[in-house]
Amino acid sequence: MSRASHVEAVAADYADALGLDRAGLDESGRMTLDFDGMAVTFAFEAEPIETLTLAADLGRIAEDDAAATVLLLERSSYAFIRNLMTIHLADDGCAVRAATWVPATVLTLPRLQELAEAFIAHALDTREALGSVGRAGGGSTPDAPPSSPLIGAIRA
Amino acid sequence: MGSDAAPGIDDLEVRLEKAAETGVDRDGVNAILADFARQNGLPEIALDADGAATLELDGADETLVVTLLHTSGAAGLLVGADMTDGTATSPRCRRLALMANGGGGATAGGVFGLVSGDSRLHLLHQVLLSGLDGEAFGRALMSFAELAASWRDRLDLELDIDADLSADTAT
Repeated sequence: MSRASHVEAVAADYADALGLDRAGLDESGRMTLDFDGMAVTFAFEAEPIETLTLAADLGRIAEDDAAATVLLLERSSYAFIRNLMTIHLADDGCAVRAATWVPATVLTLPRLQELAEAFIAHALDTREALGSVGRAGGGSTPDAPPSSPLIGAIRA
Repeated sequence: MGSDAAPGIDDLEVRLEKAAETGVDRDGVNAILADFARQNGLPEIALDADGAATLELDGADETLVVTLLHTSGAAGLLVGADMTDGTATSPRCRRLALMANGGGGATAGGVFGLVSGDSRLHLLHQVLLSGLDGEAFGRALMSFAELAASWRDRLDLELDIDADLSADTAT
């Protein structure tokens, strides 16, 4: 079985475990599922190494929304330290995206379920926090994610 | 390891596979750090009780303070450095940093992030521990330091531009 076929099989098993027995990667190697109104795309990537990537759009920020950039960068470090995801702005500087990945060589259904659960939870939480900042007019200080050993280490 | 050749994709896949199977314990990380210190004629480097250590890397123009952090069972060693030398970031710098987080080689697999309640911007990287020795760690550290120095120059420039814009607005 090629790694691409393996990724396809695990993705289909993942969808099946969610009760979506006809879902799976399409001919372009992608599958988009909805979680609480957030679209998460699962995609097989062949380069630079074969991976299954998970990506989600978290919304948009206004060009002058300074508070949102603080929130996103705080969540970026929090998520990176815990291997949850990377958070970034698209080239337009406004669209907020999250992504993570797992190498095809170590992809299993339990591993994908664990990765996806953590990814989706943090993505939804970040999307909600971003919405709160937006509703506050961009001027509020967002709630900070819980502290971490690195944060303590950097502060020291 | 120990070769001068840069790790290739095959090597990376093998290391990712090994990293997924087993984490490296703190003694293993300290052995890598001790090997690195010995090879470079440095005093002993070891993680403290929180799994952290701080190194000062002398560059051409400035000293870069790098924080290392290892969490139990982790596949990677976290490497972080303050990008703005304690000065506050501007909204434009933060937006630039978030766009760089999107990949494309701008951060070489790392990310920019803020520490909660602190305006300093940090560049964070994960160094895969599987198959790592002191020499390979030294190469990874130097690559990180070069990237950090490059970004510090760029962010300093952006902060200067912001200061000029503020001064223009004030007059």
